Amino acid sequence: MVNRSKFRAFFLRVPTVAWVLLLMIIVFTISSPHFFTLHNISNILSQGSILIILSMGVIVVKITGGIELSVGGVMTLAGMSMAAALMKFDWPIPLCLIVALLVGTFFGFLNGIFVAKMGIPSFIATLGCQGMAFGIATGMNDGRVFSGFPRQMGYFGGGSILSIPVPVCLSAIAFLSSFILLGYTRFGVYVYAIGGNEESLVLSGKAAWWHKVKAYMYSGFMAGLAGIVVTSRNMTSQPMVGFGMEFEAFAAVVLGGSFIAGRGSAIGAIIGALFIIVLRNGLNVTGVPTYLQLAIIGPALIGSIVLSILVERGLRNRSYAGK
Amino acid sequence: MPVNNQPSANSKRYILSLIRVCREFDRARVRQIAFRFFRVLGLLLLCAIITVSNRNFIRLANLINILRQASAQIIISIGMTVVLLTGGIDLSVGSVMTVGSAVSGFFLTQTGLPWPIALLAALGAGTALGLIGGILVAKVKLPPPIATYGMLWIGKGVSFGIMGSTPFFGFCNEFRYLGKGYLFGIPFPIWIMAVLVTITFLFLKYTTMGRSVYATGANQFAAKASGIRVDRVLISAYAISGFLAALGGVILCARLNAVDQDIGAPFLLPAIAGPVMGGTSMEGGQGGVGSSVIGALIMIVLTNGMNLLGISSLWQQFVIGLVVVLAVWLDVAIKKRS
Amino acid sequence: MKADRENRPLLQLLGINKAFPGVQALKKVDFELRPGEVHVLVGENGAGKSTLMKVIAGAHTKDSGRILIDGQEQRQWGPRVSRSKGVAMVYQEFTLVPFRSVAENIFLGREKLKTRVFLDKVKMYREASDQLVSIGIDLDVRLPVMDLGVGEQQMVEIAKALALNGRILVLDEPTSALTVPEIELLFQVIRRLRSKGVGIIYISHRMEEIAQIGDRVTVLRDGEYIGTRNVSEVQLDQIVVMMVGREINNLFSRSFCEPGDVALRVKGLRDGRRLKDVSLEVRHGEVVGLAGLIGSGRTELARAVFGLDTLLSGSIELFGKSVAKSNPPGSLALGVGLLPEDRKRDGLFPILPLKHNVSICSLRSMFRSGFINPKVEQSLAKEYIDKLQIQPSDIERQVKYLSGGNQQKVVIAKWLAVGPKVLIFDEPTRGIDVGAKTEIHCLMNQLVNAGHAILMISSELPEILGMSDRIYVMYEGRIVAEYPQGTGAELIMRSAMGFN
Repeated sequence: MVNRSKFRAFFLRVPTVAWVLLLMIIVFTISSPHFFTLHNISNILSQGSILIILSMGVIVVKITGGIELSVGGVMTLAGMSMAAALMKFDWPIPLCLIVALLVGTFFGFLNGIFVAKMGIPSFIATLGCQGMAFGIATGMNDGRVFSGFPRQMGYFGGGSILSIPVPVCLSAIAFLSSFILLGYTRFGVYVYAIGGNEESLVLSGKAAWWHKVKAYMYSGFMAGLAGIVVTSRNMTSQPMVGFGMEFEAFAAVVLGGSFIAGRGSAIGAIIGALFIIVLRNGLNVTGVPTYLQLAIIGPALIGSIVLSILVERGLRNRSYAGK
Repeated sequence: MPVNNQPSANSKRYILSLIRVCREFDRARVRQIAFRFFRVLGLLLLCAIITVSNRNFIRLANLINILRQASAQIIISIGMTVVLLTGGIDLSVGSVMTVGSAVSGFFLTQTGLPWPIALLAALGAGTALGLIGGILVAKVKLPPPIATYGMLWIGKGVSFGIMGSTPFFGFCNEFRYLGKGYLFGIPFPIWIMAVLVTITFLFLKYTTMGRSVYATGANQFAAKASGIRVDRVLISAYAISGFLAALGGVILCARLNAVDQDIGAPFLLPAIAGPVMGGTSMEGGQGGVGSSVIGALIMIVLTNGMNLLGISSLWQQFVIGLVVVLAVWLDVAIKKRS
Repeated sequence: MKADRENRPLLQLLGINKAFPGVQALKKVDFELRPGEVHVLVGENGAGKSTLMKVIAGAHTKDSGRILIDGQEQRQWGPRVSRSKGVAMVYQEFTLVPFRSVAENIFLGREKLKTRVFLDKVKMYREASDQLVSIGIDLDVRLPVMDLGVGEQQMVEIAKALALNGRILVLDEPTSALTVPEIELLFQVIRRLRSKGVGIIYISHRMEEIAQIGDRVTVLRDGEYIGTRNVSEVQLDQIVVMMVGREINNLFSRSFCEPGDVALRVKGLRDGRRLKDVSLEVRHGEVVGLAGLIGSGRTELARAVFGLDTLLSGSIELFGKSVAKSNPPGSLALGVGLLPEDRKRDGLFPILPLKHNVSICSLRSMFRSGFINPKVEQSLAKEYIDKLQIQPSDIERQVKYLSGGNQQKVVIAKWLAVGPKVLIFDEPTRGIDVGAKTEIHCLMNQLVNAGHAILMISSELPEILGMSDRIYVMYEGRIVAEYPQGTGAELIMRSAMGFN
């Protein structure tokens, strides 16, 4: 009795933004011969790798129904901690990388405990954590930046493997990681269960709260990874570098189809991220000044989000009975 | 004479009646009063601790100064209170503050128009942003955190667009009076704040519209079924918050005589932590201006205390983030128990 | 020997008692389920069916009585124990994860893994498919659950419930959301399960289903076990009598008077959801009872008339004047009040004090200037506390601390304070103790004698029979009958079930 037209099923599955992205790519390709070249694409992807990595973490939290607003601050703090370990304590680079990842994961753990154990609404818990993270990042070096890293540090932001920039490789790994996690592991099933019908997990005897915490820890880990890449690329670590990234990551995830809890996918999130990246790139290329970009992107994203929500509400019919 | 029995029988009767009195005494109301009391006590305790480490704190000039600096924060908290009472939250207040500053800065320095126009434009812009947020919540039915988070970024977009790459500065004196002037020896911002606190208090407690705000937050379904126009209440609440946030921004830039892009951002978290700590619950329907002001004062005293104790402002952000989380946790935990 | 084992009951409940604060939900109830039978459980709303099922599932603990599985008495009983013994509940609310596949849902919590980390999807697909096929369902187990129709989702719920050694399947109103072909599919599955020896407890309001699918039927009434019959040996009418037959004590103090003009008249109401075509009228001075089963659309009607829900077509006339578009503020102003079915959600403000709850609808009319006079508000609250005998009489107390009966009185006070001429009571005395019930009935009597018009929705037949001047019966979104005062319970129940 699955009498749903294949057409509509396809439309429901693919987020609206994918079509707009396709359109944008076509328009840009037509208007500029340089757009669809390997060099330019790799450039765009490299600059957008931060957003992709962050989104791959945020999507997992969003599917559980949480609003993750801390990744900007956590990323910044992870970068600063890594820089501090490098410059102040002279630790070897691999150890510093681990510091970044640990800091990220730890803040994810904090977020998870706030939300899952203490019952604090996710947007407050993550906002508060972001404030704390930015606060520590600003305070830890009296507001100054770290710089003067050894040359090898630049590998993660500027190096390349087989002529693919390292950030792009890392974002590909992040994508694959989330894709496999969400689709092919037990944990992935539980993430969707928490978002879609938390009761069902409890009835099956599983500790839902711990899986929620793990989701936030994963997002924190990704934020740590992003911190490594951004610090490596800039070859400095600034206390405000991540400012606003949580919004773009959130927008990417929502545009990619994950607004309601229990829905969304890594593929959707990366499409959403690519949409934002291509949009930014397009604005750059057409010479829009930075401040105006910021003025446009915010409202544009909100508008797209509201639009996609309304579209999704309209298309959705009695597809899931329940209460 | 049964000397042994009489005293014990009497005391037994006495104890029994005492127990009866205690049981009849409404535990819920006792709890309510106790919490209020503890918050005020907490505030006084905090002031005492700070005074011990720095006697300058308790001097009148310092207290007035604190209040003046805090007036913008308190004004925003009033708006946040109204929104919290409806069961929602306004994450855009910091950003709308910036818009208020940016718009007034623009009108003051880029156009030849008189300063009242700048003021009106700023307030209008804030109210408009609040209205949009309210519509998103009431009509589009977006969850308040998401709707107002979106407005936060729209607000940023607006202020970026207005300011461009250069900040505004150098405003006319009449306008600056709003932030720096004195009236009968008391700074003007404090007057504005006091008036607004009073008006809002009376509005919430003694008008039918104010009562609808509480009803909407206490139970939106029952409010609707009791004939309250819930949509209007919600939209108005967010519009008020936007208006007050813009007003806060006006006072801020009037005092600083300049505007830059992030002027309002640090005001968001304290605007949440203050009212929630003071007793205006995120659930809705509980608390009010009085509670929020107490909570806001706690936040302000805390910040000022940190300054006086020499804690760098860089770490203060950490403390505030932590306080927000703790305040909300307290609120959630208390509500869960009852 | 074999016959013996075949007939030994899977499940036996003996003398089960269960009480909740204020009400004895189950009184010495017996129940028995044999392997390979479909045992239908019927009773009016509130008869105790859900409570009994929850006791079987272990979700509620019995106060006393015995539970036996395969003849063995169970000392311990709870959700885990019941599941391990083979009890599989399928509730009306689904417990599926929408975005994941059928197979993943069936194996939720017991996933098959390869290399201890990754889902062995091939294995899960195969096994899930086998399980579905064995109960006669043909579904692509790779599809996400949200792509399935409601009927298919229910199949997945059943398969999921049975997957863990299920021998006793409990279905709670399974057909309420299904289309006719989906119902037929469900019955096929049930027959298949029956032939495999699974015992099925089937709760339903739909009498025709008893004959279609049932082997035996048990009737509960007011928490008591009335009797069990073989479906093949009993008539529908006899079942109805068992469901409703009781002495109608004259607890109801109605003094009937001559009704006046029509206060409320609705014609042809249709909302595109539950209401198909509803027409009725209520006159001043009368209590009009509205009977019907759960899901017949009575609450939807009340809400639509008051303006809480939208209508597609139809007309509403109040005091002779037509109402264009009904909405709550408008209804309030015109003099219509609705005491909602879900009083905690739609009627009260639990965290607000009593005085605010009572005054909330009257604020606009009492204080024209917009400014509230606290003293006036307080005296209003005190007035109604006295009038309705609300306990405890503290006007500052948050109403969440009041008992159910007193909470309902607060809702009534709220509406009386604003003085509407037409009142719609939706389940006015549900969950309320006898004393408060009588008080509320007295109040209703006073109101209509003073000229008000009352539309009373109730699932308690005695209340309908005792209080109403006239009785409408709704079935599947339509008014199917109108009866005068003095009509018998069986007639009303039959109409409510769609007969006559």
